[in-house]
Amino acid sequence: MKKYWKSLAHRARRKGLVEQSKREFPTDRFDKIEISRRDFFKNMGASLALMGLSGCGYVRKPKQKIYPYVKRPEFMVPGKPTYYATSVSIGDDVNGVLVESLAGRPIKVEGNPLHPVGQGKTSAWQQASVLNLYDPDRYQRVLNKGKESSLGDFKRWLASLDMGADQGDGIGMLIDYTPSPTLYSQLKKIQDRFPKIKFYRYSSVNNDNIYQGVSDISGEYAFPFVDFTRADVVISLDSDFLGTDTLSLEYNRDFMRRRRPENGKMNRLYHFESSYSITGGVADHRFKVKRSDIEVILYEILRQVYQKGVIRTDGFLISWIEEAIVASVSYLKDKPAYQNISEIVDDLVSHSAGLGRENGGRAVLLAGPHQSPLVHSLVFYINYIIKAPVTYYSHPFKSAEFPFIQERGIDSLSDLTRDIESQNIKTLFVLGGDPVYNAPVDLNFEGLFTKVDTVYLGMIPDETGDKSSWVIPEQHYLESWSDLVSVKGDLSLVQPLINPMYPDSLSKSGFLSLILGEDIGERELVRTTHSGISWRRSLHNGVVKGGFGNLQRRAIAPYSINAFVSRNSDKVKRAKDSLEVSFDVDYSVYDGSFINNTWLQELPDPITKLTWDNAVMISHALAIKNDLKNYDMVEVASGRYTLRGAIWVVPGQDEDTITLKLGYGHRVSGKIGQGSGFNASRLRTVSGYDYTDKTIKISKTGENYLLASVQDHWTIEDKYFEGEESSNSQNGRPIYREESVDNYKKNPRFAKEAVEVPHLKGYHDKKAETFTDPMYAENMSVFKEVEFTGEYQWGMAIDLSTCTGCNACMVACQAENNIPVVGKEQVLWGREMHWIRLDRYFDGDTENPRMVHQPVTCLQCEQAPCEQVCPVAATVHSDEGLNDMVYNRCVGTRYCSNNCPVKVRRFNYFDYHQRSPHAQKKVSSHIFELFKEPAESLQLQFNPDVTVRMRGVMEKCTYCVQRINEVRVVSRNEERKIRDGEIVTACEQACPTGSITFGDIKNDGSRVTKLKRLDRDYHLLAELNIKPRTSYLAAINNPNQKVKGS
Amino acid sequence: MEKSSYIENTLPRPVLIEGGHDFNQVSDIIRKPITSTPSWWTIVFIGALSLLGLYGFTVALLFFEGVGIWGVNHPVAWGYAIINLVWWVGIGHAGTLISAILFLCRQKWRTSINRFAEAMTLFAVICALQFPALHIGRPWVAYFMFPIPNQMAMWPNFRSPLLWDLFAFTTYFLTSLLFWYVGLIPDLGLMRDKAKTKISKMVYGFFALGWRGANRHWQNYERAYLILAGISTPLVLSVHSIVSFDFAVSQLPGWHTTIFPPYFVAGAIFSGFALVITLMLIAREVYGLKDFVTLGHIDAMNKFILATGTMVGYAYSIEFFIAWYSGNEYERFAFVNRAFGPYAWAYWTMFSCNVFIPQLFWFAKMRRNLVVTFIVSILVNIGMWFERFVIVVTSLHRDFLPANWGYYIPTWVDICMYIGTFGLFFTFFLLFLKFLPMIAVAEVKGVMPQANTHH
Repeated sequence: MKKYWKSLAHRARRKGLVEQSKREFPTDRFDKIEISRRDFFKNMGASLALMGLSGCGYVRKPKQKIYPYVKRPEFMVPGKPTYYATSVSIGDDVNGVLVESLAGRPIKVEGNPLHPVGQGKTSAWQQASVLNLYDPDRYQRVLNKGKESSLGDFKRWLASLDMGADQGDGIGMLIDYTPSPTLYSQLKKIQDRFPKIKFYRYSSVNNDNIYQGVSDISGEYAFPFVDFTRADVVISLDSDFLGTDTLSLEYNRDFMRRRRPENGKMNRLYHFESSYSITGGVADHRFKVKRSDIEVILYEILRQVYQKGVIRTDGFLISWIEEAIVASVSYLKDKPAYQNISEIVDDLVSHSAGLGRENGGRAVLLAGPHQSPLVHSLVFYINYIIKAPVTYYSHPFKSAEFPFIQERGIDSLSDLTRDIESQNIKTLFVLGGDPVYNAPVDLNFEGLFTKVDTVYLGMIPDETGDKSSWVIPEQHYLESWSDLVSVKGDLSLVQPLINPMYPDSLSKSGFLSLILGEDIGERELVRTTHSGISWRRSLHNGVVKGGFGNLQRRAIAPYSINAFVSRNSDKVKRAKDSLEVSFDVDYSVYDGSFINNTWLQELPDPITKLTWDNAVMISHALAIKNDLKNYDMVEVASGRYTLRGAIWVVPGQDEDTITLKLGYGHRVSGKIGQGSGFNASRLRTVSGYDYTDKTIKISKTGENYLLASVQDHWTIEDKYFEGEESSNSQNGRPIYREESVDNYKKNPRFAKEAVEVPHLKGYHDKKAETFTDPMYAENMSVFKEVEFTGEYQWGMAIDLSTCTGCNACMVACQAENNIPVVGKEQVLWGREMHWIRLDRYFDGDTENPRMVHQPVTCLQCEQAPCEQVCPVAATVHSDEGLNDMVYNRCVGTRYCSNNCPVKVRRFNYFDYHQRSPHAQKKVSSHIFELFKEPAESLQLQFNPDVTVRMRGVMEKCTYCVQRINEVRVVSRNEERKIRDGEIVTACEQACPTGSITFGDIKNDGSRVTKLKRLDRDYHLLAELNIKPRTSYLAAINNPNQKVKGS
Repeated sequence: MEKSSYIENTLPRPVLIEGGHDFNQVSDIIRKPITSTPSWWTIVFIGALSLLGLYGFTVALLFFEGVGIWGVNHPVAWGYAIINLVWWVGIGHAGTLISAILFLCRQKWRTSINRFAEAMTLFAVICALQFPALHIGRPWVAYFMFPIPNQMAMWPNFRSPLLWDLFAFTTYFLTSLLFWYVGLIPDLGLMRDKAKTKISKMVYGFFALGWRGANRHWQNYERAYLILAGISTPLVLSVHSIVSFDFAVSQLPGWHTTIFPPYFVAGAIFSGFALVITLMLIAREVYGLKDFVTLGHIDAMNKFILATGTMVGYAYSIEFFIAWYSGNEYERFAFVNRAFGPYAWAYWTMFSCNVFIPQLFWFAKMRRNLVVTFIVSILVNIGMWFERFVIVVTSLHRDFLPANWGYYIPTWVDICMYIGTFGLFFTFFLLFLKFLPMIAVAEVKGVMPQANTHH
């Protein structure tokens, strides 16, 4: 027999090896273990005992089965997200979004870069909209008189109604305006089928005044779009165009392009408003004035434009308003808003265009949706004569087909109440909108509503659903097919990312199909509406630019002024000295449709920093006059209507204005919305819809109501902060640094020089090989400094010049990073969890201060004070400069938070997921059944790339490390470096103004490096030698030196 | 005659133990609380146990719910737990100071109070040691803080003052325990010899380590005691210095102060002596130990209080000076805010109790007035608790960015847990009174005139 050898070594030492190679374990290590029989049994006994112990002591995980796909769906790689384009509408505002879907669950909304409105950006509402999908409180079953029923029962009832018999007579349909072409084609069908059916529309927040005003003077039912990129001077009359107004995303982008001094000439914003808005915070000059007085201010602007005589103005118009101005002067003359009009008009006129240059002007006026139609008409007129860069877009739906579209919603609703009263309407279909909650109080809508048979299509329990005979659960936009059209005529498609969570639910289109008795899927409906477009490509892109026909109206000119004046002769206002209540859209809950959204409820209002409630907002002067202070429960009476609410004193509020935010104070809502805030609709009347001055009284009730502000330290009463040294709420500290553009040009390094930091070496002094912080070269620490050897060095720049404080980043961060909501009580304890927050400071006297916002998140200090004090090394540096937080290692000493100079670390004082009202008992069968977990539907929203933190650990911003690593994997697979802009943090992604920039600061060409090289770049608290990776660009503003007292 | 005139012409030796007892009487008097337990002991013990029960309940609640049941928040992430920790550790300084430093300085009057003070130290440190584990968010992983080799290959961060604390505390506790125990051995021998029942004989006998009072034993004992005193002495100074590093090493204005180590040590001795006096005054009254703890003792301890109180006062003032002198606006604000901000009430409580009130002790009459001494001793501890409150809370509640500023309010759990630690303390202390001689019998005998018959 031949003796084969395996290798030369084998051959050489065959003898011993043969024996060895036959053994199971070739090395003889195992033989050397000397263990006696007794020891063996001892060990085994002990092991068994420990096994038994482990069975008792440990939490046994509930049994769950995981099945692999037998056939993998296309594009689905487990663990890898897919993005689908869809679109979302909030009121008139439509934006395209890309929704991240993981394992079939939509988890995060991001902007669709192809959509012309957002161009990849989103508002806080859009960011938060995904949570509504998973809201466990949603209507899940068809309800009949409050009892569970089924869609079958409803269909039978619908059949018994026999609408066809008398052409739909006695049937009304109340629609919360949704700009969906498919919906309107269905309405048209319904109108054709049942000609006697009556349509009404009502949305509590709307643009009716704007459309009406433009239509009154020009005959075109059109929406004015301001091109801020071409506007040097902007006068905003109560228009929160950077906040709650329609097209605010586009306006943010355009306007802020002109707020960066690097981009050339800066624009200048004059802003008139009654209560601080985020637009007011950005303004170069902000004047507080009653909402009703703004109209008179506008008259005066118009008169002075006429007087300056530079541009041709209709004298007839001037003589018409002059009388009102004269009558108002005695009241207005002390107000800076009135005193400075001359300077403002000078600025305006000097930026207007000469004859014949269409839209060539570089100044523009715009008015907010709460101003009367007359204001909008006059604004249209002034913009026309100064040739402002405004274009007009016709309303997408023709009035010929639907007269109710061009009726103001408030009038339409009034018609409906009259029709119910006169028994013309016996059955009412309500498509969303919650009119029982938000109808003006003098319509007595609730009383009339119960007199007729009502069917309500709604998503979240509310007053209308509570009073309706039938409730049909409405589908979320992520569950349904539809289409939307923006005010500028861009068509976007709505496609579902998930099967409807509740089988009985219907979309608006589905509901109309049911009425029509048609059995076409909504997808087919949408497809047939837009047969002209390339379906697949449109669906992929989510948007068809201008796909709804060209709505733009090139040249619309005012009608005959004489006719206009005679039609509006009785509408001229006079300013008078009286208290006034104004109603504003809420930055968190919009018109109330987000009332049950925990993210938005806990989102601090940009101005008051209040969470979970609205408040009766008054000025300091009014508070003193009526001996009121924060938390006082008051009764506000207007005529015979009253409202009880808690006081919040707001700096910069007009003395005679009480501001109420809409959307709160639901009597019926989900577990989150119930009992939060006060219902402003209780004072809203048909005539006093945007503001009311009808015998306003405010009186103490003697009770207190706790309001939860995340920044309640800024108490006006605090004398210490009124010293001459520190008239601003930053206490005189160089935290938020700002300068006028003129001074900035004189001293470009003002921001860097605000604090003296010793031993600084310039940015360019460093050698490129080993990375050290741009601002410091010398080691000033007692510890050996970390060397950053990573391939990339992450950093961030935040531009304070463009940040408005709109909160979009906060919600985006919350959605991305599974940040828990803590509830009002915990906010009162000061334990909110937001990783990025917007610090708001006031500057100046309490009555008329300036307001600024500063986003603060973990600065990722290179010399991180938190790292040094953690006893267990749970927070350490990565070689790429990230200050990493190791949740598993954290024991929760909270020392890091104490040592963090910016206090961005957030501690899980409780397991907030267990304490949420939406928590449910844990589905498992062991002794820890006492424990709770998030509601099943909410569990679907969690981002699986981010750990859900348990109680007792510290957490903070990670620069979205999961996104960094995701891109890193891709780049490594493709054997290339990560490109600049390839990693986008959640906050950066959402920021409508592009104020946040993230990237590799080692890369000389990256956007963030370029920003960090700007002179106005500064490091917060640099004097502590913390070497933050996040730096700020100082705010530059552009005030008019001639304007005083603003 | 010659001899007596010599005695008359020199200063008399201070009489440390009064009453002219002989050795046997001394043994009996000191052992009396053990041999015949007074009836009030049981009542007080039940009280202490119920407080301990309250403590146990709050701890259970804490473990079940999380540290959110306290008033700690953002930005004040440390509250009562850390205040109590520092307070109890501070109290735990008197015992070792009396035992070790005064021993090395040959201050013989210490013998009447050292056992008592050491026991107090030990129990105070036990109370303090509760908090490092309790105050963290996840107490079940508290072992992460120890340098235990583990499968995660994780090691604690030696740069963190909290870790230094851990070593300082455990060292101090173990050394104090050892010191106390070694000092107890001769007395345990006595207890064994005089024990009536078999069980107590066995238990005392076990712990007496075969003490027979032989010359050799005494030699070894005294050497061991001396060595331990030597080891303990630097610890007295180091422990509170290291506790102060928790604050001083951070960069928070109001914490980041180089004066902290000596200032904390002085404060610790200050509060420790105060609690010794409080407890001693009660004990000497109820147990009839006035001959052992004389007015002279009280007087001496009050001098300590005056001295350390004044040091603390100096520290308070120099902090203000430095805050102004540094020119650092954050530092300056922190101190102005302390004295005139929302927590001014706490600051002035602290300042009056710790600085103004002890000034009474410049007068011998006050030092020897038991009522005044008792009240002052309690006020000093209230003041010292507020000192820690002021340091922890007022520095945190308003720091660099005004947007973070907040206010700290304790919850009922905070308060109950603090009261509960008294249950823990007094349970131990009453057990000590019940089973061990509260005055070092052997040492007291050593300073009695009979022990020095040679002249």
